[in-house]
Amino acid sequence: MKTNTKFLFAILVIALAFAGCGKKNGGSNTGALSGDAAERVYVKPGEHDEFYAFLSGGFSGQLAVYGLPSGRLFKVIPVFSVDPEKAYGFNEETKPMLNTSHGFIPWDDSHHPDLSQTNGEIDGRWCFINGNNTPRIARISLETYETEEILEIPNSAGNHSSSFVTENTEYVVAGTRFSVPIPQKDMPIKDYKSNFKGAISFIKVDPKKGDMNIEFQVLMPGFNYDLAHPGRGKSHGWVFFTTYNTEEANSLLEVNASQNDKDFIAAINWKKAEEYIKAGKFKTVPANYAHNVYDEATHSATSVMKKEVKVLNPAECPGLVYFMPTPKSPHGCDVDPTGEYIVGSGKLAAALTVHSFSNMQKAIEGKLYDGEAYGIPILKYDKTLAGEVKQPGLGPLHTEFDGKGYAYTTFFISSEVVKWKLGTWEVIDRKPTYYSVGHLMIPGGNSRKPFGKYLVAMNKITKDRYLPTGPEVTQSAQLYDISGDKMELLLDFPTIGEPHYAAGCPASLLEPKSKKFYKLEENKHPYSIKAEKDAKVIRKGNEVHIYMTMIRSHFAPDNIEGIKVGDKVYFHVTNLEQDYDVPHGIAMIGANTSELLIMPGQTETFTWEPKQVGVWPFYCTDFCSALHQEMQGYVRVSAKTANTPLTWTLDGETLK
Amino acid sequence: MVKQGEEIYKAKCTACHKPDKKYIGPAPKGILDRRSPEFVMNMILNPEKMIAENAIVKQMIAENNGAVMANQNLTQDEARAVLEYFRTLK
Repeated sequence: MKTNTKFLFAILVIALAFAGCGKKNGGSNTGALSGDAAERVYVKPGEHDEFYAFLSGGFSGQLAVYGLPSGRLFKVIPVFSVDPEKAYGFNEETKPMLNTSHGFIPWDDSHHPDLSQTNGEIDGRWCFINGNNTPRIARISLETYETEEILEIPNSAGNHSSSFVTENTEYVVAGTRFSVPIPQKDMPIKDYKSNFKGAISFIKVDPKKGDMNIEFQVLMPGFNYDLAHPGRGKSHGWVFFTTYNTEEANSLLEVNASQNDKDFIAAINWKKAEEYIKAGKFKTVPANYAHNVYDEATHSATSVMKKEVKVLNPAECPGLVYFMPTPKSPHGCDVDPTGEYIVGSGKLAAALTVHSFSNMQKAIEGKLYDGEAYGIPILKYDKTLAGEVKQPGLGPLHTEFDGKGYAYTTFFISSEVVKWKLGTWEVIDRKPTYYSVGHLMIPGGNSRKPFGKYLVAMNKITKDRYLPTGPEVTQSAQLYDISGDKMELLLDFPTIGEPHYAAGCPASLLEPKSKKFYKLEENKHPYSIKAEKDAKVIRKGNEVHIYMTMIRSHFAPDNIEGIKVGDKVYFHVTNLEQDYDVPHGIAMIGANTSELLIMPGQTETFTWEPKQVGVWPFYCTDFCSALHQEMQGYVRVSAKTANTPLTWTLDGETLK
Repeated sequence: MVKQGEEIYKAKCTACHKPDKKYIGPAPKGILDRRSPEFVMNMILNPEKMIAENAIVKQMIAENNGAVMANQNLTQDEARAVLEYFRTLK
């Protein structure tokens, strides 16, 4: 017994000595960061994270903002789905944001956020994200963290290979997953082959204001277009798209779209496309798609239907598109920071395929073709190939880069992240994910300047990682430290929806310019009022407009009489506060809508159609001050035939 | 300056302060007989600190059921203009 204790003590001393040594020297298995995992993700109360991370909300349709390394959730930005918490899609101001050629659509499936770039580096202006189901691209301001613009994509279906940004944000690209009849028409599904087409859209972005416009579409063969990445550096001017279902199957794709040994990466030369557009080689075709813009000055959105789009046919535009054969239904299509390597992740392939941009250029020059498909040259596989990462894992999906010569690829089936070296293609390290990882994100990891400190794996299956919550469990992300030779798992954190992709950047790029409040004097909302004395109620037939203000801790007016059953009452409410983080809310009993949550200096509107006579209350929904619970009011509703005069008062006096 | 101060006051302050009678907060009429110009400036420009530290302000908050002075983010020049307007309220 005594001997055993001594022996244990000796081991402990040796272990401590080793641990101490490892910490001090940052041994090969330890990242540059010291300390244990908990310490390395701990952000002290009151301190801020080092990175912002924007994770797609998947089937929630939204975009979630997290901090890294803590994994703390800061905001869910409503984009493609209504959000009663923020009245997005409920208030009169934001309803037009969700307008489409199919009418008002309250939901979508958001997939791939990407940040704007200048010279291939993240510049912190905007975040773009695609709506997959009813094809749309959204632009989100990184000053207000609000959705400023949504553009519907015509001729597209399953807007999946989107929304990726070229190196100076010249374009956001949006490729279709489903090929469809273009224009849509009534035809037998079995006639898919050679009749359906896949549209790839190039959306021009105004460099100052960010406004988006579909500059042109390239009408591609009827394959499925899965993911994309623009070239950068030497390959700037090109965008690469993975394809699957080059078999052009229209049923049981899990079997019938996995027949070909190789599918393609389509390389599209958009600078060439611009030349063809300039030379008039396009066709203008009729279309119908919504362009929705939110104006920060009016705090309101407008929706305009656009009626045509320019299309280019690759068969008539030599040099516009080339196909690079890539094994087995490639998913990710990722370009390294130098722009030389294009990594194709053949989902069902035994190796990762890496194409070389320089080789591709030589193959194009030498016309080293292996036939063509629908008039598009197919480059010889071995002539564009740079190398293969052999036996890397099972089910590769997506790759990002650390800027130090390494690539990190996710493997869905073998459930791991694999680190490998560009150029030698050797596997350096592999770490399991829990479970079945989809995409990963390194801040700046798809730009010319990655910040190779952390990696976020977004997992598709959660199972037992958290306390259970019935059959449906949270989605799970995992944070790895990639600053050392070996990756280290630091943290699991839950996420909303099902994140398909993410974008991240240093907090220092965004933190200083985050807007604090809206200036009242810049408020151009047509129903805004700037002072209590301007509060009023105006009747136009059965439409009643209430011009109301809010400040700690009262509404003006807070007693309104003369409303009648059958009226449509508009509450136009302006928050008069001019300080950071003093929003007020308002909710009306029985109103068939959400609350409003109004930021300082902002005006928002909800409607109420009272159906019963009585005196009905409204109140502030956001705890604003010690007197928040006193912030309330009444509306008197009289019968349709009553003659109750219209009055609006505060503390017994008419506002004037 | 007085006119400018009056405009700023109307735009940013009247939701809680009427010129000549107590409303949510006290009336500015005669304020400079009761308080120093520094007090008024500090109250406009840095109400959070005044509420936290100044004994008179703490007492006022207690007497006003906890209604706090809102920071309306005026610039120093704007606050000075408002102060000059207050001098004319007699």
